[in-house]
Amino acid sequence: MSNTAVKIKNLYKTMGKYEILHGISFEAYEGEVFGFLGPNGAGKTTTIKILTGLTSVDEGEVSVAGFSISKQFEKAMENIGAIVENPELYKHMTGKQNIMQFARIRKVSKERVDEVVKLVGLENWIDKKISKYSLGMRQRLGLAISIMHKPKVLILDEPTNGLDPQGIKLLRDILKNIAHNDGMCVIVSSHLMSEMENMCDRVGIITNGNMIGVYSIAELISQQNSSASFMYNVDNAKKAFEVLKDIENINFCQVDDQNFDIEINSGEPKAVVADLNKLLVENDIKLYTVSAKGSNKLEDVFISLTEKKDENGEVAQIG
Amino acid sequence: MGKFNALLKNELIKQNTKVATKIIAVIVIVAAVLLVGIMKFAQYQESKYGYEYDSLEKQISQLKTDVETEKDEATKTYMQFQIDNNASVLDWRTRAAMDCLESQAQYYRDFASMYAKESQQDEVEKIVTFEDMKDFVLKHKGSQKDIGEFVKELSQQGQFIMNWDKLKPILEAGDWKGYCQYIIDGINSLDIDDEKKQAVAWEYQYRLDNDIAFQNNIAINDIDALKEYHADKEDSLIDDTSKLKCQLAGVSAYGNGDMGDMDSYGSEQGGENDEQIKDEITKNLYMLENEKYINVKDYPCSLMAIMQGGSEYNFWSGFCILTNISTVVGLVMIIIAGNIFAGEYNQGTVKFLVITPVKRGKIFWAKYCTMLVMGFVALVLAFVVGLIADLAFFGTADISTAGNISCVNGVVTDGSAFLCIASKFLLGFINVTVMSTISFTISALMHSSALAIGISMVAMLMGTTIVSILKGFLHQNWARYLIFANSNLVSVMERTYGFATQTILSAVIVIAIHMVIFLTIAYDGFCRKEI
Repeated sequence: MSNTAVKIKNLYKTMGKYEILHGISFEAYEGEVFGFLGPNGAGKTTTIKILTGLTSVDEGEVSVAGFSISKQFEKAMENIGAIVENPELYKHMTGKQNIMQFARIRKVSKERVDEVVKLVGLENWIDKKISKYSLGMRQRLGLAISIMHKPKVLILDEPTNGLDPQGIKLLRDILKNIAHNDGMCVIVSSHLMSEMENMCDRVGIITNGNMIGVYSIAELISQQNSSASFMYNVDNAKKAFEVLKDIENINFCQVDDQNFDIEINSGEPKAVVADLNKLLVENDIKLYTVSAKGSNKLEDVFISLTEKKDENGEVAQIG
Repeated sequence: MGKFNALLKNELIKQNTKVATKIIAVIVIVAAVLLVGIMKFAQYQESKYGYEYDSLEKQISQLKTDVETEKDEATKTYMQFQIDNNASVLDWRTRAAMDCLESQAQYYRDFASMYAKESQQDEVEKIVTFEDMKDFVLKHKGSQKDIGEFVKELSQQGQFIMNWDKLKPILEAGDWKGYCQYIIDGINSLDIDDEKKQAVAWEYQYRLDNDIAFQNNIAINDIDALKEYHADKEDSLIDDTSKLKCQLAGVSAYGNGDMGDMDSYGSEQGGENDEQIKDEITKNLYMLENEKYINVKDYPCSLMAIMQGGSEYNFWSGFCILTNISTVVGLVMIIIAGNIFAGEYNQGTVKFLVITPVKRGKIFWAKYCTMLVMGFVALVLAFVVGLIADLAFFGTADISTAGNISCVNGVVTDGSAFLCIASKFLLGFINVTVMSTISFTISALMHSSALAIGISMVAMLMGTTIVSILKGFLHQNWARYLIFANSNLVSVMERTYGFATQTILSAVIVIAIHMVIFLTIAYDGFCRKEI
């Protein structure tokens, strides 16, 4: 594995009465796009705000490129570029004036500024006022501001919000390019798995302030294959249940008198289905159709993961 | 430090690219010109309405009809003198004739009426000369001795018996030196202390010694000449000094030389005790000697005081009133300070601002410095524009004749008038800096520009009123510890609020404590608060 760019350890954060983060830990490496995934209110933005120094931390450690956020703030911030929430810029100033504000503080040369402006494709708009920019343009200018000093870590909070499909694709290409070719660590937060699977190398899933786990996209896909659902249409669902109830590793779920779903948790789903079909027919149940339930996408994996955690959380709280 | 400079530059660019900043600059320029313009307008108004006299021809023709019906012999005589000599009401000869005839007649009549019965008042009214009075008194049971007492009493006041027949040819010849000599001789003939003689005769001796003629031959209705006449501070200084000397010696001065209601502001202040009168005299003599006729110390910087100060509109009064621009500068700073944090939070730009490799403390101080720099630039802009307008309106004629002169225990100190007023500009800047720091603090804490600007505007405009009410009506002495009672150092220096123990040092300490508190709260608010 390449170098650790961001290291977060046991992060706790309470705002008022609400405990928002209960011990988040993860690491992100140089040269990868790290997806930070979770439903709304899970604590993604809070974690990102802590990472970018906007919010203080109650407990835990955060380091960026080896520098502690709390102890070596300025050094750590030199290695970060970030857009948190929306890319808000000074509306009364031109794009160029805006980008120069940050170039001055970060001591970025004018040539580099022109280079990144070209990279995000804004060279024709750079001398126009921000008030005339569309959201996509502001997003791109924000990106230019965040990457012009070649930070080791780029953090984008829900960057695809409000972008059209072309915009999303452009953004995705830029991010993949700077991560894979320039060796930057890109952390992207989102609540949409579908965006993540095309963009990210790994995703960390967070819900209710807890880190469920960090998975590579490949791992998630294999998780998807290990379970499969099938829809059965028969003449008597009750009778079918009586037949199938003793079989291990399947979940039976009756929909109505004639329909039920089967979820197969292990083994070769197709072989299991063949066995089940045979069993049903042998028991005089009229089997009309069997169809694989719409392919189990990563989205469902994500939802099932976060829901499971919710249940556990509740149990833990009661216990 | 490089980063701080970059931050400061950033903040200044942010301010200067705003349209509001350009509008504010225009407001400051217009306000500066208007303030000085008020003085010019006041001068114009006064020359138009304040001293409206009829033309000489009209006066004389009016006199010719009035003299027919005038019953008072004394009045009639000097009216006739005016007609014969073509002397206007502003002519020094008219005043001299009035003094000799009317004023002296009044003394005689007052004395004679003590011997007259009610029915004889008409006869008393006919008394004009010393001889008339003597006859009347002797006729009505008065004695030579009584008259001698009266003359003695008059001479104790520094008055001698004038003789119109002797004076008339001198006045007709327009011989001001002769007139001065006549008065001096008259005073010297009195049987009083030399000290008193010198006090009464001083003005005339001074005029003779320094060859300073009375104001003469004012062309009535000639506004330009009138302006010059009002602007002639030398006469009024001599007059003030003469009055002060007489007051000190316990004698009454001759009214001559006082060619109008020209009491300067300064002379009214002088003279609570002998030492102060002496200092005032020393100061006036210094001013006369050095040809400095304008003392900026006499000009308080508030508008009302200048209006009461009388007809002294010149370069320096315009310059003094320009110090009021600090309120406008305060407005500018309060608006900038109120927006400087709130704007970033409301636009959401604060996140980009803070995700930079600089500590928030540096951003905080860069913003505070920006506010100060913008305010100071506004002040300098107003100063320069106002100065140019002042020169354009009033010219350069009065510039060299001003000083910042005061006299304590006989020691005259003369500072630069320009520095005196410039320092008032800077002291005014301290006041508005305090007020805009309040705005800055609220902006950093509440993220609301409306709240910040509103509260600090009320503080700036109402603060002094609140203190005045607390002290003046409610007699609350603790009010002196309020920031409003201290932030305006000009007021502290002029003791506007009347706190006996308040000094510049105590005011500076109160200001410093408040500033530390405000800035600590603001710093904490911005640097620790989560975004």
